This record gives sequence, structure tokens and C-alpha cells, in this order.
Amino acid sequence: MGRTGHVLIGFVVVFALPIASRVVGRGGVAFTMYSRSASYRLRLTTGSDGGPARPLAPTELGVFIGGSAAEVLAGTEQFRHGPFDAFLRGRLDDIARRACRLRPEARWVEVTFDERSHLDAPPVTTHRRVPCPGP
Amino acid sequence: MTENDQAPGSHEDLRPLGWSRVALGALFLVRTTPLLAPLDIGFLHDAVPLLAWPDGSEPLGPVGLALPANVRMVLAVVRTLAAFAFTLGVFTRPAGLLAGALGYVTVLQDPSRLNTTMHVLFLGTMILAVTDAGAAVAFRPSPARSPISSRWLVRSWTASIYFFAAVAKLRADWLDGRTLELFWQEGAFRGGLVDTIMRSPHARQLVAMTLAPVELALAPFLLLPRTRKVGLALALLLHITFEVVASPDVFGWAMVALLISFLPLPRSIVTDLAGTHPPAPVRR
Repeated sequence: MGRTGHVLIGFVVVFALPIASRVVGRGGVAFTMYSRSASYRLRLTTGSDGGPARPLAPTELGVFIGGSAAEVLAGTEQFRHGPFDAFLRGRLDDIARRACRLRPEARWVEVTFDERSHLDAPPVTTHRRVPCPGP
Repeated sequence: MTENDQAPGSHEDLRPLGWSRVALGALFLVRTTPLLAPLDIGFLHDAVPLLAWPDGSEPLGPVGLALPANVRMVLAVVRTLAAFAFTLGVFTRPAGLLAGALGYVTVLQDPSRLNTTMHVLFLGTMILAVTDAGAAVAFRPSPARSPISSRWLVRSWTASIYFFAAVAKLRADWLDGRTLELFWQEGAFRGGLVDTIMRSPHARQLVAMTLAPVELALAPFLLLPRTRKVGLALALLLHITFEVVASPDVFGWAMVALLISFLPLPRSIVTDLAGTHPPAPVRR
């Protein structure tokens, strides 16, 4: 590869990728080195026909899913400092579907995701309600 | 492979790039295979039997197509073979591109596993692969095509890592030390001296107010020839400190591997460039 190719690749990896990552994805691939102070909280509720809504602890769901999900979801009942804010926000529907599997009697799952991008930022809430296939 | 390998017909010394490739490739293998499993290092536990090997769980939201377990196993093995070839300098360009790309593909099957260290290893491998890093310190050296832009590409990307790390810290809650306190309370930092510093709000703020400008200065210091030695010394000091205080995966080691590309030309090569001596012979 010659000079032109190196210049083009350099533009992408030195400027475009990190800047796009900071603007669009909270710096996931922009090299932050101990700078992140984002925190987040996950609230899950399941409901069935006629029955009362029941809260579901994300930690319990993480243990049910297993693997890395146990680590990612652990302790998110309360605001937790960590790197998974954008990751979780983008997977709320998937989390709800896993909750349906954990509670097969549920007809729906509600997911509420609160996040703060840094310590002084106001919380931003994302809400999802996903129907379950049911028993 | 000899230490004196040099690009044929070129006066540019590609050995720093070659050694950078060897060092980063070795770290790629250390981080993605059980080479150091006997040492029982916590952050390497996920490298057994190979990084991103299926563990029976169904990860949250893979990026792209969710691949079957047997395909993921094959890709992890191919990734390892490619990284090995890249490190040795055999078919360096395709091997490095394949190793880096498969690094992303395999780890992004469980995206929560992709961290900064892996990003540096995978992207760094691909960047070195497209340069002339395979033209020196290689068992099968590839012809050098553009040594100067090769060096600039690797150096610019390395410097940009410090720059963006510093920019990310230019926030009130970082500069006043509260973010450092957050990491400390979670046990990310260790050591009696660290505890003493972190207990004091003023000391935390002083550390934060020092670290951000140092990282910001590293990019120009490394890129400008007159300040490069100071930049290299500062960067090494920074990573040694991080390693002692926090052991952030193999990130510090990966950065040191990339910093090798900044090493100054040996005197004999400088005189070659000045035309006072013929180019060093190519030894194979």
C-alpha cells in the first residue's frame, strides 16, 4: 500500500472513527482511558393478564442469561458506574425478550433505562414495553 | 529473521516498525490465547481456551449475524493462526488484516466483551499490516513500498490515542477529581499511596489537573522530532504508573509496543541518509 492509501486510512482511524464514536456512540472506540463517569439503572416489570405487575431484578435476569450478561446486568437495580450504558440502551428489546423467557407466564415486559452521561448530567430515560408470547 | 533486516533499496530504517509489529503481535497472542494461563492473571481468564470461545450462553445482542458456536470456534482458531503469522512476519499484510478483522468479528458476537485494550490490539494489528512493518524483523520480509508514510500512519494513530483520551477528560467532573474518586471507590486503583491521595479531594484534583494536560501534550510531543524523546519518556512513565496503580488489562503494554515505532534512527542509519555511507546491506 502506498502513500495515498496510508493517508486515507490515517484520516479514517485518526480522525473519522474516534470523532464519529464520540458524537454517535459515547466514545466506545474513541479511547477514553479512565475518563468515563457515566452511570445507569435498569428497571424491569413483568405483567400477566389480570395479575399485578411484578418487578424483576436485572441481576436475577443476568444470572438467568449467563455468560457476560451476568456481569453487565449485575447491580443495575441502582445507578451503577460502568462502560455499558450505550450497550444496554441499544439492547432493551433483547433484554425484555430474555425477561419473557425467565417468566414464561408474563404477557408483557416493561423496561425502563435511566442513564447519566457524566456526574453532572441530568438522567435521561428510555422506556420499552414488549409483548411476551405467553404460556 | 535478523535484527538488521532493512527494506531493500530504501534508506528508511523499518526496524522500529518491524519490532512494533512483533511486540503487538505477541501481545495479541497473549491476550487471545492461554499462553499465560499458568500465571492465573484475572483479565486473561476469558482467553481460555481462546478469546471469544463460545461458553454455552446466548450473549445480549451480537453485532451483525449471530454465528453458530462451531463457526465461532473455527474463526477463533483462524484468528490465532493469522496473528501468529503476523507476529513472525510471514504473509504479514493478509495475516494482520485477517487477525484484526477476525478479532472484531469473534469478540463482537458478545459486544460487551469489546474493550479499549482489544480495540487497540485489533485495530493496531490491522494498521501495522497495511504499512511496511512486514519489511523488517520478519521471517518472510515483504517489499517496502512507502516507508515514510508507513511510519507516519502508525505514529499518528498512536499519538491520537493520547489526544482523544485527554479530550475525553476535559470535563468538570473529571478535572475536579470526582471521576477518579469513582474509580477508586470501585477498587480500580490500588496501593497505600493511591489510597492516601484519593482520600484527599485536593490531591485528587491535583492528579486530575496534571494528568489531562500531560496526555494532551503527549500527541505533539511524540510527533515533533525535537520533543520526541521527552514524549517517549512521559508516555512510558504514564504507562508504568497506570500498570502499578491499576493494571488495565494489557493496554499499557500494547501502547508500549506501538511506541517502539517512535524510536529514533540509529546513528549509522542517520549517516546513511546523509549520504556519507552506502546503505546498510540487506541480510536475509
